[in-house]
Amino acid sequence: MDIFLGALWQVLQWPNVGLMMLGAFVGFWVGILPGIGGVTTLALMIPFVFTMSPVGAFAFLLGMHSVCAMAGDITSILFSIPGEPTSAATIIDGYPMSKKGRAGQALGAVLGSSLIGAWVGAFALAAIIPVVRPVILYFGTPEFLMLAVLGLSYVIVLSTRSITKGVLMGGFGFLLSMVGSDPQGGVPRYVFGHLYLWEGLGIVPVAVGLFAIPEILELMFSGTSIAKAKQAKIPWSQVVEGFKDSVHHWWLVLRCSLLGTFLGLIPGLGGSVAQWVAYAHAQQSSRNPQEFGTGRVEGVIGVGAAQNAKEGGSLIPMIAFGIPSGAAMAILLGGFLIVGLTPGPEMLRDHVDVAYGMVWTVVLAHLFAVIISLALLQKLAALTTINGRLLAPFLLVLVAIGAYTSTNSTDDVLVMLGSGLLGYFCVRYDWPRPPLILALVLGEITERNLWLSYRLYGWDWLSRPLVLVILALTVLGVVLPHILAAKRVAAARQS
Amino acid sequence: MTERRQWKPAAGWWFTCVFAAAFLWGIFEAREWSEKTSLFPLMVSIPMFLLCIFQMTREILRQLSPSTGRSVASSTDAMEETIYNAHRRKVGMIVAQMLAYFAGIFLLGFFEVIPLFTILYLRFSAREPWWRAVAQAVAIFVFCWVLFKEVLHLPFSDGVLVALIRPLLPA
Repeated sequence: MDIFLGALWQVLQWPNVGLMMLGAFVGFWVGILPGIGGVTTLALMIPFVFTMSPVGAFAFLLGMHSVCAMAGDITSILFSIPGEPTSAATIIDGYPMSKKGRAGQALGAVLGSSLIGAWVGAFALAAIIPVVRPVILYFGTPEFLMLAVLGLSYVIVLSTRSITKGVLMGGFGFLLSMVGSDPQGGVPRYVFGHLYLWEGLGIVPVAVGLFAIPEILELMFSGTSIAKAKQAKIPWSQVVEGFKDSVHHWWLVLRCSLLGTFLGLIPGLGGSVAQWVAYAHAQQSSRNPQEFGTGRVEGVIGVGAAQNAKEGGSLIPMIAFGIPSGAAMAILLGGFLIVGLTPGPEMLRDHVDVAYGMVWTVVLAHLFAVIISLALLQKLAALTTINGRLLAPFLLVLVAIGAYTSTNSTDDVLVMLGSGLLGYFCVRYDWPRPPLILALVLGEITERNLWLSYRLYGWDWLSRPLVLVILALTVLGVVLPHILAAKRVAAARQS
Repeated sequence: MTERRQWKPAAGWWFTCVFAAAFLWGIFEAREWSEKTSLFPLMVSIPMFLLCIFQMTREILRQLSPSTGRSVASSTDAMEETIYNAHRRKVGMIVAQMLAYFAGIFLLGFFEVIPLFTILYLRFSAREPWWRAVAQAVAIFVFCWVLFKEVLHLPFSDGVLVALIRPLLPA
């Protein structure tokens, strides 16, 4: 406990706290701007840490990284543009709330649940480090494969009335993920002879195009504002109501936070899966699951809690084993190595105060981000009342530059445009978009784990106990909503 | 006696066809790859192609079913046709504007097209006054320049036409 509180004191000292606030401020704007991802900005900021102390460096980098997801939710709610790829699920219920003139409630709910989720994840990080090692080591490639399938199945079931269309979109996402060099042998697949495609399709241009372009088209077509219900400014009572919703649904927030923490600590999964699994859970545990997608606050709360809790979870494998759980963690690891910190068993043995300092950084950075968000809330939310035609050019610039900065190539803009047209037709013909983007994210992991599982175990990997448990959860997740829906229909007929 | 309905492919049906064609092509391309390269593509493409066929068949049967009411092939009245065509024209125009914007970025470059498109779009499509169009164009341009060029130092390549013309200009 002394070390734990001593670490708080270290983070609160100047200039560490200043660097943390600066990082959180930068991370907030990075999260707001679609396409300017947290990963890209982390990489851009690495050179600045050379002159910082170890504590200052991780306060700056972690502060920046921690708040990106929270800030990304803001544009998801206000404009249906995911500020971060991990903020896509927030659109499903957050944007409809915004259109109904309840943007303040949605923002209050996502800020409140994000803050609580981040704190749960951070303190879970502090508590779980001693016990996590045997759990992680028991997960093999078949289990990672099944977790990916589980996440995708939840998204398919939840995002559409037609499971067939959802499965087809997921399959198409997998097909798109195969563009480029295959992860086993480096053989180029589906590249049409273009060097650009050897690297595969970027997540950012596809996600931005798929979700943002149809909405911008709608804004340009309708000529109205995003918020159909006009209001001069967002009443603070709406924001407070949103915060209260987070507290009122504390049990949902806690469950989704723990879910996000658990998924965050699985290397290779994390944000993209956590948000959808949490959304699935929020819907399935709701008394009104059929209303999800029309502006249910639980849909916003569950996602906000999970995607911020996973930040703490994703630090666990890096701090405990020195294994980064994703691209952002890999860059963070690089930054830590630059300043002489070596995450892993050595850190836990000799510098556990540094590990606890990271916990406090996550806690304080999110608190600071909530303060910034509240300070700028009226200005940000006021954008939803502006005529859509005035907003459209600015949004188009953001999505174009956001896609471009993925690899600094105009080919990314073309990919974004193609995804945008696909997204438009998906909206037109009622095909769900979330399964595609999730399958695209999970495609490489799924393929690699599938091949390794097949090579190591043949098809016997299907009979591993944990695989069977996850498979059962998958089947339950697909079948249960239909059983519940059939029961509701039967009950309605009887009454 | 049940009325025999003629089936006319709906636009949504064609959309499903696109997916079927994509998966079929995925299978076709994978046939010459090694086992480890083709395992995942075939495991995805074959069942997805079959599912597409199922979906397309289901859509046809649904349209031919008497219980679905009006068939796609039945005619609408003149007023609805006019509204529908006007809607399609407006959507087509907006899509064309967006495509022109991205074509401009590709040909001329970001910072050449951003203010130009903003002014043209706001003035002629959104019918805003000149001063508002110019003011917004300047504001967006300055915001992007300061943030992306000056602060983040992101490299923006020249447009294709600019790259062709630049060497011809006197030094």
